[in-house]
Amino acid sequence: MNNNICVVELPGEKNYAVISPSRVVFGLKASKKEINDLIREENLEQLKDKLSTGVLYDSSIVSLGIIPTLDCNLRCVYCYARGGDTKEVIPLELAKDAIRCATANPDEKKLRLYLVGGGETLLYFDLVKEIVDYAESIYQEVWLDVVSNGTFNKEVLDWLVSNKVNTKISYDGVMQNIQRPFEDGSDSSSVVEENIKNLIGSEAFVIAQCIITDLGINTMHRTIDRAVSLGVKAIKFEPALSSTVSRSKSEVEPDPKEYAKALLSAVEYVVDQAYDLTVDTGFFAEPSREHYCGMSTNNRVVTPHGKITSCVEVARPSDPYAETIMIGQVKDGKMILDNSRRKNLLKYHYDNQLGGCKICNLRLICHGGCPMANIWKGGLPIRKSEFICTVEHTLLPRLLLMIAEDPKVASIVMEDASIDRF
Amino acid sequence: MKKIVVTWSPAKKKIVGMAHNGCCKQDGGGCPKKHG
Repeated sequence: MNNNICVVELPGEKNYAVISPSRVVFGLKASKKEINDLIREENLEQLKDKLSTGVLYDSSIVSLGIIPTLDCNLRCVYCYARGGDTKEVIPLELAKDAIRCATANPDEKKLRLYLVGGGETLLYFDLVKEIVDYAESIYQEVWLDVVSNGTFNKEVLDWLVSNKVNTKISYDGVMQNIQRPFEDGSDSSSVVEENIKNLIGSEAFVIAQCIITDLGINTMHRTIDRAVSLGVKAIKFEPALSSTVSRSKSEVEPDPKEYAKALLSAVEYVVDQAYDLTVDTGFFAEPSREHYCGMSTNNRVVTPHGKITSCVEVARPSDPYAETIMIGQVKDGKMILDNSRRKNLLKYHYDNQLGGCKICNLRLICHGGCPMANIWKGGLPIRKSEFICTVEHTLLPRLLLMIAEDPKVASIVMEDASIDRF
Repeated sequence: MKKIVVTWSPAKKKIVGMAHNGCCKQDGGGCPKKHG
């Protein structure tokens, strides 16, 4: 058996998808012989092009994440970090040390800097500006990715635009005021929507990230309408999942089968409305043998306490699993990584630990799911997540068939993929 | 049989549909849990 080729039976009769790294070949109304021929062809294709196994990386780029603060002005009902419950802010000198020490390789001259939560990344804007200014002073080029709750003022907005920041705004559409209120309980939708509109009006590229709770399971269509009216061109949905450290408990989680059906319906809705909108389902991606997440390989996120965590969900030294997920610290002007912990994290991959994933025919697309979500649910050692499995197995066969049958669906859920029809 | 071939270009940066790559990877993809 070729470990890089999976065959998925699709709905209807004799419909199949043959999945391999960077490729999906559909055989619709195919006989057994025709499918076997397709598999043989894909085996040859794999031998021909061993390099086409995913994204190519530029070795001159170094990546680093920073959590500027755990403080937040919103009190999102599901917040994975309980943002605002504590108010730690990263000391400027610590952030500078991390940026300076992010690479010891003189060839790595470009920095991709991720400012991520915890709390609201742009809440202490003067600090953020100083961090970015410093990064720009020591790297030839800095690409900045920011995830924000979108409640910033015009000064911040202008800075995001002028610095061409790749911005992701957490925005829950019609559920915004219920799920993402300010600390005092007041509505946040008007300021966030105004900022999204103005960012897009200034030609910034914005992805709206939308959390679907059990309560909001039937709101995707209306949220899509609202996002499109703001000019949003890319929306990403994800289910609310609870953890030991999240603000909410499991009652916010949607039923996984219902969630998958709602995603499919959302994609169909975008087609029906002829919206110019890309939908990131979070459960469908380019096939590859990549890990779902860089947690087990190269994630380095610096926390306000000076710890280096491999997952933003484990941001406080007192959090459960910190002794496993935190892989180092920034101290005395140095970045110290614990290699035994890093090696230990390599285990958290479907190839090694997830049992049934090894033989699952969706593995090249699913990649075993979010490792931390699995750990929160099932502890260590890591195992399959029932939630993710159920979503993937409900969603993917149907979505793959939709992609095969309708080029509009393909353009909504994929980027930079070429499609040949025979 | 109707045959359809979908191929992703490894050289191009992908922003949407790359949700399954870690927050510190270089592809512009994003961990779905990175909310501000």
